[in-house]
Amino acid sequence: MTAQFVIVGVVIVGAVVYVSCRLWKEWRHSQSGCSHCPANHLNSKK
Amino acid sequence: MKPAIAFLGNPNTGKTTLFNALTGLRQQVGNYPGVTVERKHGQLTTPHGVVELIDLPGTYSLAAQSPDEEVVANVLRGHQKGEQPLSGVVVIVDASNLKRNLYLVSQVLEVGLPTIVVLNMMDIAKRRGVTIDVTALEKRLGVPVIPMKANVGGGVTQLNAALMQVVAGQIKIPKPVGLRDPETGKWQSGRTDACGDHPIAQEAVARYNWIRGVLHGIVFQVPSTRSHFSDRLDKVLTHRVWGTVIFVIVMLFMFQAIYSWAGPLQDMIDNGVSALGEWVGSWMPSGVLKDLVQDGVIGGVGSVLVFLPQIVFLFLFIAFLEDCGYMARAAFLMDRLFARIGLSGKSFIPMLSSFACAIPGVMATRTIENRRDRFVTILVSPLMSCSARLPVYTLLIAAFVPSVTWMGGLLGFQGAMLFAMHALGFAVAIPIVWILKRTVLKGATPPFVMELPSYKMPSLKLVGWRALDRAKTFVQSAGTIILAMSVVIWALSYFPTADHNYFAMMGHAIEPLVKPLGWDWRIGMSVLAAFPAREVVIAAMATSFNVNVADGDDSSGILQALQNATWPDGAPLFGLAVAMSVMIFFALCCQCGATVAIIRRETNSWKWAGFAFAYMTILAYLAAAIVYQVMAYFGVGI
Amino acid sequence: MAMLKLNQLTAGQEATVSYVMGDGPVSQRLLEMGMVPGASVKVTQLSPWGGPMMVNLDGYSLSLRSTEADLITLLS
Ligand SMILES: Nc1nc2c(ncn2[C@@H]2O[C@H](COP(=O)(O)OP(=O)(O)OP(=O)(O)O)[C@@H](O)[C@H]2O)c(=O)[nH]1
Ligand SMILES: [Mg+2]
Repeated sequence: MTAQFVIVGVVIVGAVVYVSCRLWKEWRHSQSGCSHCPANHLNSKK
Repeated sequence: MKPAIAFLGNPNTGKTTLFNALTGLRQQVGNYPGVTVERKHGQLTTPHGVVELIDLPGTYSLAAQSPDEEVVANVLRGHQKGEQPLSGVVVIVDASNLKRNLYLVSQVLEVGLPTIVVLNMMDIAKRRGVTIDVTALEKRLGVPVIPMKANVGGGVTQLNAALMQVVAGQIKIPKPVGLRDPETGKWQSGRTDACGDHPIAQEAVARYNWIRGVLHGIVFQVPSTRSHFSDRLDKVLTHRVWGTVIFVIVMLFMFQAIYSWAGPLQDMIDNGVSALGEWVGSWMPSGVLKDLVQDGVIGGVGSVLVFLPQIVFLFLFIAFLEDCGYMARAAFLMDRLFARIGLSGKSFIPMLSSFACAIPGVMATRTIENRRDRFVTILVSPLMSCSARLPVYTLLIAAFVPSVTWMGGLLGFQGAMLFAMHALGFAVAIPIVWILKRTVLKGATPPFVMELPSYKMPSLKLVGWRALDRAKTFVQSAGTIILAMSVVIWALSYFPTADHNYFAMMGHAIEPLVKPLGWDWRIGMSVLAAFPAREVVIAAMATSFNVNVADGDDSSGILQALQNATWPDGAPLFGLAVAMSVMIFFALCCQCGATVAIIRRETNSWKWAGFAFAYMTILAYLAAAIVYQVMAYFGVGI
Repeated sequence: MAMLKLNQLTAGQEATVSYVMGDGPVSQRLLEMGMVPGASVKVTQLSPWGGPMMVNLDGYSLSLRSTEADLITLLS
C-alpha cells in the first residue's frame, strides 16, 4: 500500500513539474522568433 | 560559418516547395499568396559541406510595404538581426508569368550578390503554350537560369550543382542592370509625359522596358482561343450569389462528413480504449495506483484521443482548400463585406487559417500593410473556431442534438449545428471589427489589390502530409501535456478523500460564478482547467463525471455520463440549453495560452494580448449566459 | 476629352494601360505588378454594389476594387 502511494506521489509531482516546465518552455519559445519551425510552432519539437 | 543562401521570389511561385525538396523539411506550402510569412531555415548537405538555406516570404518588389516583405528586403541587404550576410540568392520565378516575375529579378541583380534564377512551373508554362529559350535568357541576364518543376523535383539536381558553384565562389556577381543615370540618378524610362513626374512610375516603366528587351524574341506563346479552365471555374465560384451558395453547401457537407465518416473510426478507438481499461482492471490489484492508471491516465488521455479521426478529417479538408487555389477567391468574395466594416478581403486569409489553429492565423497577418488593420485582424482571428474546439463541439452535439439526416446521410442536423458553431465566431468578429475600426484602432479602409492564382488539383502528398503532421501533434500532446494535466486533475479529485476532494472544494467555490450559464461546479471546473489548452476539457470532464473506462458495456462512456448527469436534487444537468451555453463559451473564449503568447509577440505588447484575452473571455461569458437564460426562459432544451 | 478609367470598363472588355495616377503605396504596387503604360488589361469579372473586380493583366489574374481601378487610366 505504501509503495503504491509513493509511486502515485512521484507521478503526481512529476506531472506538476512537467506541466509547469512545458508551459514555461513554450512561452519562452513563442517569444524567441525561432525561424526553424513550421508556421504552427507547436508542431515542432525544436 | 556555414555559407547562407536565400530563396526569394514573387508570392506563390514555389519557393517553399523547392526549399522542402532540397532540405527534406515540411514547411507549409499552399496555392495562395502569403503562405510563408517569416524566414525559415534549413540545411543542405553537400559534398563540400553544409549550406544554410533560407526560405523567405514572397514579394513583388524590394520596396517593402508589409512586415513579411520587410523581412525579405532586410535579409537580402544583410540588415536582418541574427542573420549573417548572404553568400548568394536564388530567385524563383514563375515561368508561366515571366514578365511580372522579372521585375523583382531586375532589383535583385542590383544588390550585388551571386544570383541564380530558377524558372519554376515549367509544366504550367508548357501547358499554356509558352516556350522559353533558356540559354538566351541566361545570356541576357548574365546569371545561371535553371528550368524547374519543383512539385515533382524536376531540375533539383541542376540547382544543387549551381548552389555548389555559389559556395565555391565560381559564380560572379552579376552586372547591375543600369537603369539609372549614374550622374543625375534619374530613371531611364524614356518617357516625359504625364506619368513621368513620379520617380515611382519612372522606375516601374524603366524596369518593364528592360524586361521587354530581355524577353524580346526568346519567349514564344502559342495563342489560344480556349479560355482557361480557371477562368471558367471563377465565373461560378466567385459569382456573388452562386459563389456564396456553393460555399455554404460545401461547408455543410464537410461538417456532416465529420460525423458520418469519422464516427465509425472514433468508435473503433473508443472500443480500444475501453478494452485497455478493462484489461488493466483485470490484473491490477485495487488501490490508489489502479485508480490512477484507470481513471487518471487511460480515462483522461483516452477520452481525448478518440477525437483523432475528426481532427484528421478537418485537416484533410483545410489542406484541400489551401492547395486548390480557393483561399484567394474566398478573400475576393469577402472583400465587399470587409470593406464595409473597414478592412480588406486580405484579412480574410488569416481568419480562414485560424480555423485550423489561431497561431499560424495570427502570424499570417504579416501580409497586411497597415499596422492598425493588422492588429484588428490579429484581435479577431482567435474567434474563429480552431481544431482544438472540435472535440467539445462533436461530443456535446453527439450527446444532445438529434442525429437526423437527409439525402442518404449527406446533410444532417448535427452537421448543421457544427457548421453553426464554426460560423458563430465569424459572425461575432464582424461587429467587433466594426467597433475596433471606429474606436481604438481607427483608420481608413485599406485598399484591396490581390493576385488570384490559377486553380490546380491539390497534391495528394501535400494534403496527406498536412493531416499526418497534425495527427502526430495531436497524439503527441495527448501523450504529454494532456496526460500530465489529467494526472493533476485526477489527483485533485481523489485527495484527500474521493467524496470530499480538492477539485470539488474549488468547484463549489466557483459554482455561483457559473450558475448563470446553467453549469454546475463540474462543468465549471472542467472549463477552467481548459484555459491553458482547450483539449484538456474532455479529460477533465471524463474525470469529474466519473467516467469508468472499465465498464465497457457501451463504448460511449463520456457521452452517456453527460446525458445521465444530474444536479444534487436529481434534475438532469445537461439539456440542449446547457450544451449550447458550453459550446458558445468555447467558441468565443480565448482558452489558449499559446495564442495569448503569439499575440504578445506579434503586437510586441502585453496590452493587446491582455485585451484579446479579456474581451474574448467577457464576451464568451455574456453570450453563454444570455443564450442559456433565454432558452431557459422559454423552456427550450432544458 | 474625358479619360477612360479601368473602372469604367464592362466585363469582357479589353484595353491598354496609359498610366497610373498618384504616387502612394497602392499606385506603386500596381506599377510594380505590371500596370505600366502599354500593358494589356481585360476585365474578367465585375461584382456589383462596390465589390472588387477581377482583371487579367498580361496573362495573370488580379483583383482590385473600383477605388483602385479608378487610378488606372486607359488609352482610348
Ligand atoms: N504545377 C506546378 N505546381 C507547383 C510547382 N512548384 C510549386 N507548385 C505549387 O505551387 C503552389 C505554391 O507553392 P509554394 O511553395 O507554397 O509557393 P511559395 O513561393 O512558397 O509561396 P509563398 O510562401 O506564399 O510566397 C503549391 O500549390 C505548390 O504545390 C511546379 O513546378 N509546378
Ligand atoms: Mg512559401
